[in-house]
Amino acid sequence: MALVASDTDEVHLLGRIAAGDKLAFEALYRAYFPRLSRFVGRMARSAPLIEEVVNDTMLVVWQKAASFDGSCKPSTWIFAIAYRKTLKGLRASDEPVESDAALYEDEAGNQPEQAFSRQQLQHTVAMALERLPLAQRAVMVLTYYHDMAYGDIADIVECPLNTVKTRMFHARHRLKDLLWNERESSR
Amino acid sequence: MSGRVFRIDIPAHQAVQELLPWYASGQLAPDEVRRVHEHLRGCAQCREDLEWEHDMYADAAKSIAEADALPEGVDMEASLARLLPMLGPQERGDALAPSTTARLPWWRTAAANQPSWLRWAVAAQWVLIVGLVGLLVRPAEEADAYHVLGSGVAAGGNLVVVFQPNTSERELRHILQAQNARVVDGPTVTDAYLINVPAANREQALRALRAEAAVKLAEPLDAGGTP
Repeated sequence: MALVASDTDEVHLLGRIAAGDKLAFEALYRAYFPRLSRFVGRMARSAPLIEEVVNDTMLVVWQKAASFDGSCKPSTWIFAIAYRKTLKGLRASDEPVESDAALYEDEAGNQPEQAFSRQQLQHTVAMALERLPLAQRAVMVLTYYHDMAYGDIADIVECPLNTVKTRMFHARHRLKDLLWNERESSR
Repeated sequence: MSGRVFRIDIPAHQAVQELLPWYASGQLAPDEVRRVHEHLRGCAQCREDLEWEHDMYADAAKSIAEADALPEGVDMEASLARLLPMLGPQERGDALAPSTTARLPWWRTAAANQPSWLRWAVAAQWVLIVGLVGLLVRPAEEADAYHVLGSGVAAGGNLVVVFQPNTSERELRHILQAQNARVVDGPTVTDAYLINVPAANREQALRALRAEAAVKLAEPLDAGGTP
């Protein structure tokens, strides 16, 4: 698997892609596929939809590589495309944009115990993440699972800096509540 | 919710609370780091929350490492194999953001400054400009013809007709229309009309006019002559 060491390398790859270099495209695809599929997979559930959204994203990268102007990191540019493609893919599919649990926040503590009991912490966090509204979930996933700064996240989800911070603040409180409820119910 | 520390929510505390996730990952600007650092020294709750942030990052890193880095059922090589044949033509230049170009309707695309059609439009503009300049130059060459139409009445008429004084306009009109004649000038001070009839029928027209009771006088007029 081709490893992309830095933003500079990725900018160089994008330059080659803009010139029609398919080998460069394959290198970037392999470098980004795991990250993009994990990001999209936090919002879309089915494997075919995840693969479709990632491919739609990378097709845009191929088509528009020449329009990348270096005003942001390549990863920010590519993740922004992926976020838009995910929202579009969810709207076009049968999958709910928001999880049912996110729509019934007050009932979060009333889930059956077996749903969470004796799971690994990371699985518990993953489950809890799924119960967050999509906008909060995206910000949280980009922060914890993709080590993104809030400025980059604001570019990706196309909202003001303060909105990112506020969403993250509320998402952490909700996640803590969900985890606390889970601990209590598994006792 | 036992064990939680409740405190008055002051703006500085709130601001630091919002920055904690990125403080934990070392992604803040130096002045933000300094602000958070100073606040942490005096705030037990924020120190506790910072521990939670570190746990979240550690948990995320572990889950990525243990989950084979891909969601269940997702196949990178199969996805790439599907995508490669679909790589069509690329867009050139630095135009618009990806989200906007992808959804532009055809009329918006046509309205954009796209080089593909713009150079043809510019070429067409030049053809039009050259044509208009040609039209501006031409009338000067035909100045003589315009002059003749404006003042050379003799050149246009080939008969002189004088009607009886009591001839009505309607009668006069019918007589002229019957000979396919057009009034070029007149009436003059002597009530004469200078008319033009087709050259081939001039003699016939002259005879017909002279036969009309309403016509007092009808005489041929040679081109270039004076009435």
